[in-house]
Amino acid sequence: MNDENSADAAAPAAVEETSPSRRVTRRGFIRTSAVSAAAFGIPYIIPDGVLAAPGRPGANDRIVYGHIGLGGQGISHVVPDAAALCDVDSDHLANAAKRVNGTPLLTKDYRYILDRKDIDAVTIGAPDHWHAIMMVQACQAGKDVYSEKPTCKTIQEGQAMINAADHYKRVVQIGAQGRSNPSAHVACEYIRNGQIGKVNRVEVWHENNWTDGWGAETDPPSTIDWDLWLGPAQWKPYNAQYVHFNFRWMMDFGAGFIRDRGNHVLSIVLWCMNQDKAAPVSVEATGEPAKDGVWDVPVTMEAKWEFKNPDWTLTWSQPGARYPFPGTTAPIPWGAKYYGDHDTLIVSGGDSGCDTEPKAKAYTPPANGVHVYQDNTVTSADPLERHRENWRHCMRTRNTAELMMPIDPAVHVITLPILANISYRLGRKLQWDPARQEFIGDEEANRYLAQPYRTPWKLG
Amino acid sequence: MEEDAKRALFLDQIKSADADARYRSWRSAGPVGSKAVPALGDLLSSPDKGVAKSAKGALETIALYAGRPHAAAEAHAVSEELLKIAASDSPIPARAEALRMLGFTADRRSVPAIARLLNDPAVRDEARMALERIPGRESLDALRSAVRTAPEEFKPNLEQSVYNRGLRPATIGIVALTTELS
Repeated sequence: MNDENSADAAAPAAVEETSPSRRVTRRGFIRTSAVSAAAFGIPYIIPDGVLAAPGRPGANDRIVYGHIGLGGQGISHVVPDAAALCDVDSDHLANAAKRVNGTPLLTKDYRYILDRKDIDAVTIGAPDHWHAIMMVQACQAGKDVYSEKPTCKTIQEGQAMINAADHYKRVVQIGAQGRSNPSAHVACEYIRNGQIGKVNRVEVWHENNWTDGWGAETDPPSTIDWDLWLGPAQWKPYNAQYVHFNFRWMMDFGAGFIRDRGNHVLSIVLWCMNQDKAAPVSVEATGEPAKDGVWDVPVTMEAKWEFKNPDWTLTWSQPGARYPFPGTTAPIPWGAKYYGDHDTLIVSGGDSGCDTEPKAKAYTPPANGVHVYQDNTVTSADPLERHRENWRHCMRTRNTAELMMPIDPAVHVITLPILANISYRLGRKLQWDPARQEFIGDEEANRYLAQPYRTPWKLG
Repeated sequence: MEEDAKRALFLDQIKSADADARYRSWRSAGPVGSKAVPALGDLLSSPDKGVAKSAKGALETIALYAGRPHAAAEAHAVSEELLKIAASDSPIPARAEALRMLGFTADRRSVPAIARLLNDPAVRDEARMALERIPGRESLDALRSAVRTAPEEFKPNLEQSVYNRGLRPATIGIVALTTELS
C-alpha cells in the first residue's frame, strides 16, 4: 500500500506559514495531497497495465495515461481507461472521474501521477502558470506529454521545456491543434508555394480581452486547494475572479488572449511563413487596461514584431480589423491576413475552428512544389482529435519529427506574445537578440525573462 | 514649486471618484517620479478598490519608467522610496507589492536593505524573490549569506533562489528530479 492509500491520506493539510506566501512541506504533501477516491464514491485500486517499457510504448501496447488539469480543454483529453486523474478542484476531479471506466488514481497533486511508473503519458490542462514546471518534471519522470497551449509564460521556461524534451527523449506535443486542421494546412501550402507572392506583412486580429468587476477576496471554497492552484505563482488571496477561465485576465497567470488564442493564431502564422525557427528582432506593444475591476490584462492591445532575413512584419490588434472572407460580410472575430506582393489570404481562427479562402482550398501544389508535412495516419475529422492521434502515433514510433506541434517551434511561437507582454508592461519598443535570447541594451526588460517561483516549485 | 503643484494634482486625480480621471493620471504617471511614491504607497491600501488599483498602476508605471535604460539615478531614487514602503508598518500586501517592484528597479545599492527584510516573516519571501531578480554578485551573495543564518523553515526558499541564479540556458530543465520528488 502506498501513501495515497494510507489511512491518513485525508488528514488536514500541513502548511507552514513563512510569509504571505506559504510552503507546503514534503511530509504534508505526502500526507494530504492524494484525494481519497472514496470521497467520490469510487473504489481505490491501482490499475493493472504496466507496460513492457514504461514511457516507451511499443506499437501494439496500450498507452497508459494520466491526466493533469481537468477543467476547460483539459477534460477533453480524458480517455476512458485513464490510470490517473489530477485536479486541485475536487469538483473537476469528480466530474472527470465519471468519464473513466475502472478505478483511476484521483489526486490533487500531479506529482503522484509522475511517481507512477506504469503511466506512460500525461496530458496537461492546468492553468498556464503550471505548464512548464509540469511538462519539465513529466519529462524527467519519463512520461510523454501533451501540454495545452499556451506553451509557457517566460523565455526561461521555454528553454527548459526544449532541453527537457530533448534530453529525456520524450514525445511532447503542444496543444496548438490548428496545425492538425486541414484548412490551415491548405493555407500553409498555398502561401509557401508563392500563390500570393512574397509575404512581407501578416496582420492578426482578435476580439478584446474581457472586463468585469472586483469579485471579493474570500477563503477559497472547500473544493479548491488554493495553495496548489497558485503553485509557483506569487501568493494572492483567493478571489473567484482569478480561477478557472478567469485566470486568462490576470498577467500573473494567463496574460490575455495574446498568449491564449494568440498561441493558436501565431502558430499558424509561423507555420505558413516557414518561420518555425525564427524570432523577431524587435517588438513594440501598447494597450489599455480596464479602469476598474480586478483583472489587469490590457483590454485592447496592439503589438508589432519585426523579423529579419527574410524581412517581414507581424502585427496583433485587439479588436483589430475583423475582416470578412472575400465575397462575404460576416466579420471574422479572430484570424490573420497575409499580404503577399500580388495577393492576400485570410485564415480565420487558428485552432480547431480554423478556416481559409476557397482559392487556397482548391489549390494543389505541383509535384515539384512545396509539400508541407501532415500526418496521414490520422483518421478523425476533428482537428483536436487529429492532433491527439498524431501524438499517439509518434509515441508509438518514437519519431518526434512527425509531431505536428513539437516543443521547439511551440516555444518559438509563444516567444512572440511573451515579448509583446513585456514591451506592453514597460511601455517601450524593445530590441531582441534571437541568438542570445535576451533584450539588447535593456537590463530591466531582461529581468522579465525568468520568474522567481514560490518554493518548492522549480524547473529543475 | 510647479513640480509640487503638478504632483499634488496628480495625486488628487489618483484619489478621484471619477474613474476616467484616475485612469488618465495612472497611465501618464511615468515621469511623475520618485517623490510621488510614498503617497502612492499609502493609497495601495485604500478601501476604495478603484483608487487602490489606480495607485498600484501608477506606482508600477513610475517604477518601470524609472527602470528604462540610461536612467540609473532615477531608478535608484524610486527604489529608495519603494524600500521605505517595504520596510514600513504598512499593510503586508503594500509591502509585498513594493518588493515586487524592487525586483525590477533596484540595483546593487539596494541589496543590503532588501536583504534585511529576509529576516521579516511577513515579507521575506517577496524579499527573496526580489533579490533573485536583481542581477549582480551582491544579490547572489546576500541570498547565499542568508541561507547560513535563516530559520530552518525558510532555508529551502533561499536555497531555491540560489539554485535558480545558477541555472544556465543549456542545462535548465535537465537535472535530476528535485528533492521534493525523490
